Amino acid sequence: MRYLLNYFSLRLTMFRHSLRHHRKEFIRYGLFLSFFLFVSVVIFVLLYKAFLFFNSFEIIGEFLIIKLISTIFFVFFIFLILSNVNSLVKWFFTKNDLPFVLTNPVSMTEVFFTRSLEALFESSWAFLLFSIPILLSYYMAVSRFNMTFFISCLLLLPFIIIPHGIAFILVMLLARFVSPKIIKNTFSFLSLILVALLVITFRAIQIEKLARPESFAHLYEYMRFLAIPTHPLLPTSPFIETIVYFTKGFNTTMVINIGFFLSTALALITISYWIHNFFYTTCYTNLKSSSSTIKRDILAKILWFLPMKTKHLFLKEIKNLTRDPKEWSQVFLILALIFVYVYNFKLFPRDRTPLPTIFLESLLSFLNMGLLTFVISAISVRFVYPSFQLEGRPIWILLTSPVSTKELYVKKLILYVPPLLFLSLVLNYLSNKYISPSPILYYMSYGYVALITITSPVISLYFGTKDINFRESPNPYGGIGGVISMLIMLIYAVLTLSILGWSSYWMILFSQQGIIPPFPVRAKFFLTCIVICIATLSMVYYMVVKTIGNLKKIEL
Amino acid sequence: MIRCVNLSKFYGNVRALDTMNIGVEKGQIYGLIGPNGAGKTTTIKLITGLIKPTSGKVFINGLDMGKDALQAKRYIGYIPDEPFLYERLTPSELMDFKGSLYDMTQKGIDSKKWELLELVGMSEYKNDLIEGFSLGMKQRVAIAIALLPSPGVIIVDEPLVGLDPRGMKRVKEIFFKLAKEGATVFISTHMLNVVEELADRVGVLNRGKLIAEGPIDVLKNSKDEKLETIFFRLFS
Repeated sequence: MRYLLNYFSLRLTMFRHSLRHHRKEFIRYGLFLSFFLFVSVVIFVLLYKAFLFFNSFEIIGEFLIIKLISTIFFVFFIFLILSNVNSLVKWFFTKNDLPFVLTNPVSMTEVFFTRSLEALFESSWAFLLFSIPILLSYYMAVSRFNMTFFISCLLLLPFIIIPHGIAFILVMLLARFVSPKIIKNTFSFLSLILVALLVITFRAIQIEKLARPESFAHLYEYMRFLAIPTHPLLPTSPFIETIVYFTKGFNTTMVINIGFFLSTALALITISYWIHNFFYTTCYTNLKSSSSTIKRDILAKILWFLPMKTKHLFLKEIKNLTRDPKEWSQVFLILALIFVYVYNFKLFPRDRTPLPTIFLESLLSFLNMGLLTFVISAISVRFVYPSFQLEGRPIWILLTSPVSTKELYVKKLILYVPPLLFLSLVLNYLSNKYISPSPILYYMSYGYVALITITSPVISLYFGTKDINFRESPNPYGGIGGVISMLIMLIYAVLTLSILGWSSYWMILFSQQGIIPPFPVRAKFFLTCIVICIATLSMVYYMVVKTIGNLKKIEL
Repeated sequence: MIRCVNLSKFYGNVRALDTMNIGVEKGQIYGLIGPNGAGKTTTIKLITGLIKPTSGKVFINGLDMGKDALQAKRYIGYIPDEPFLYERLTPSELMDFKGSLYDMTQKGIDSKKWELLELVGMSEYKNDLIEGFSLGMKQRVAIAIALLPSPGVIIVDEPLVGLDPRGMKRVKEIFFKLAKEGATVFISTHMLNVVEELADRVGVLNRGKLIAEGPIDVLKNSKDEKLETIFFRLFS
C-alpha cells in the first residue's frame, strides 16, 4: 500500500514538474482539454437532438433510443478491450522502467495494482469523458434528469473494469505463446480496421433518411444495423437496462443488474490478480523481441528506374512506414473517411433544396475545394509533418553522410507530393462527377487542388522542422505545429476561395447562359487566378527557404 | 588525416571544448581520453560535422568541415557510442541505403557489404529486421555501415560498448588492419586499456581543455608506467 501511495505521488510530482518547467506541455494539456470538452459538447448536442427526435415517435421511440444507446456502449466496450490490450502490453511488458521496478523489493501485488491502474486510466479516460455527455443527453431527452444520473456515472467505473479484466486475461494468456509486440500490433491493427468499418457502415446506412417520413421503410435497415448482440450475460446489457430502469423508477431487476455488474467487475479483478501471480513472471522472463526476416524486396524492383540515392531514400521512408502496423493501418482509416467524403456528395439531396441549380452547383464546388483543402492538409499533417522527426536518433547516419539537407528536403517533397496530388485529383474527379459544376469551376477546381497539394506539404514540413528535437518521439497527430499548419491552410482556403468566388461569379453566370463573358470579366477572373498562383508560390518559396534554414540548424 | 585548429564549443556560457589543437596523421590511431563531461563526445561531434564549432576549424584530409562539409564527410566513417539505426530495415538494406548516400553503385555496395557483414560477424542476420537486435549486434552493424564507403578517416565514440569479448577482439583487429592500410582512426573512450593497446598517440581532455597530448611513450615517466597511472597522475 505504501508503495502504491509513493508511486502515485511520484507520478503526480512528475506531472506537476512537466507542467511547471515545460511551457509547451502546459499548452498541450490545455489544448487537449479544450478539444475534448468541445467534442463532449458536440456529442451532447447531437445525441440530445437524436434522442429527442426518436422520442417523438410513438411506441417505437423508446425502443429506438435504447437500441442506439446500446450500440454506442457496445462499440465502446469492444474498443475498451482493444485499447486495454495495448496499454497492458505497454505497462506490463515494454515500459522502460520495468527492469528498475522488478529489480527492487516491490511485491508482485504492488506491481499488479500500479500497472493495472496505469493501463486502465490510459485506455479508459477518453471513454469516461465521452460517456458522461452521452448519459446526460439521454437523461435530458427522456426528461428524467435526477440523482440516478450520478449513480449511472458511477456505474461507468465497473463498466471500464470489465473490459480491462478481459483484456488482462487475454494478454497474459497470449504472452505465454507470442511476443507482446505481436499482440500489441495485431490488436492495434484490429481496432483501426474496426473504426474504418464502423465509419463506412454508419455512413452507408444513411441515418439521415430517417428524418424523411417517406423513407420510413428505411427504419427496418436502421434497426437491423443496430441489431447488436444482446445477451443477459453480456456486460453492456445489464448496464443499459439499469440506466433505462433508472429513468423509470425503482425496480428489483435493477438491483440484480447492479449486483451482477459489480460482482463481475470484482470477479475479473480477482481472476486477473491470480493470473498475474501465476503467469506474469514466466511471461516477462520469456519476453524476447521477435526478429522478422525479410526474404524478398519487391519495392526495390518496382523503383528500379530511380537514381540510386533517391531510390534508397524512398525505400527507407516507405519501409519505415509499411513495416509499422500502426502506420499503415491508419491508411485504412483515411480510405474509410475518403469513402464517406465522396459518398456524401453522391447522397446530397439536390432535388430537395430550394436553391437554383447553378447556385447550388457553384456552392457545392467551392465547398468541395474547401473540404479538399482540409482533407489534404490533414493527411499532410499526419504523414508529411512528422517525416523529419520520424528519422529519430538514427538521423546521425544522414547528418554524417555527404548529403545536403536541401537535397534531403527536396527528396522528401518528391516522395510525398505526387501521391498526395494523385489522391487529391482523384477525389476532385469523383466529387465533381456528383456535383457536375460549370466548366469554369470544373477546371478551376483541378488547378486549385493542385495548388493546395503543393502548398500543404511545404507548410507541414516547415512546422515539422521548426525546433526539431530528435531525442523526442514524434507526435503522430502533429502536435501544436501540426494544428498551426492546418489552421494556416484553412485560413488560406477561406481567403482564396472567397476571392475566387468573387472573381468567378459573372464568369459562371455568363457561361451558364452560353454567352462568352466580356473582356473585363474574363480579365478580372484570370488576373485573380494569376495573382493567387503567384502569391501562393511566393509563400511556398519562402517556406522552402525557411525549412532548409531550419534543417541547416540541426545539431545532434 | 584530421586537424583541429583552435577548436572551441560553448553551449551558452558552458564551455564544452576550449581551443583544442590536434593533428592525426594518416595511418595513425589516436585515442582521446578523459573523465565524464570532459568534452570527448563534443570533440567527436565537431569532427564529424554533427555540431558546428563556436570558433576554430576542423580539417579532414585538408578539407574544411565548415566550408566543404559534404566533401569532407565523404572521407569519414563514424561509429557512434549509441548505435541508433533504422529499426525497420535489415542490415543489408541499411548498407544499401548508406552506400547510396556516398554515391556508390549497387554493384559496388554488393561487392563490399557481404564481406563487411561477415567481418563483423553479422552475415547470418543480414535479412533480419534491426529492431530485434541486441545492443552489441547493432554496434556491429554500425561498424559495418561506417566502413562501407572505405573511409580514410574513421571516428569512433566508445568503440567497444555492448560488444562481447569476441566482438571486442574482432573490432580491435579491424582498427589495426585499417590503420595499417593507411586509414586514420580517432577513438574516444573511457577504457584506458583499449587506448593503451590500440593508440599511437593519446590526448587527455579535462573540462574541455586538452591537458596532455602526444605519443603514449612520451607521456610515460618510466617505460613500465601504465596509461591508467598517467591518467590519475594528470588528474591528481
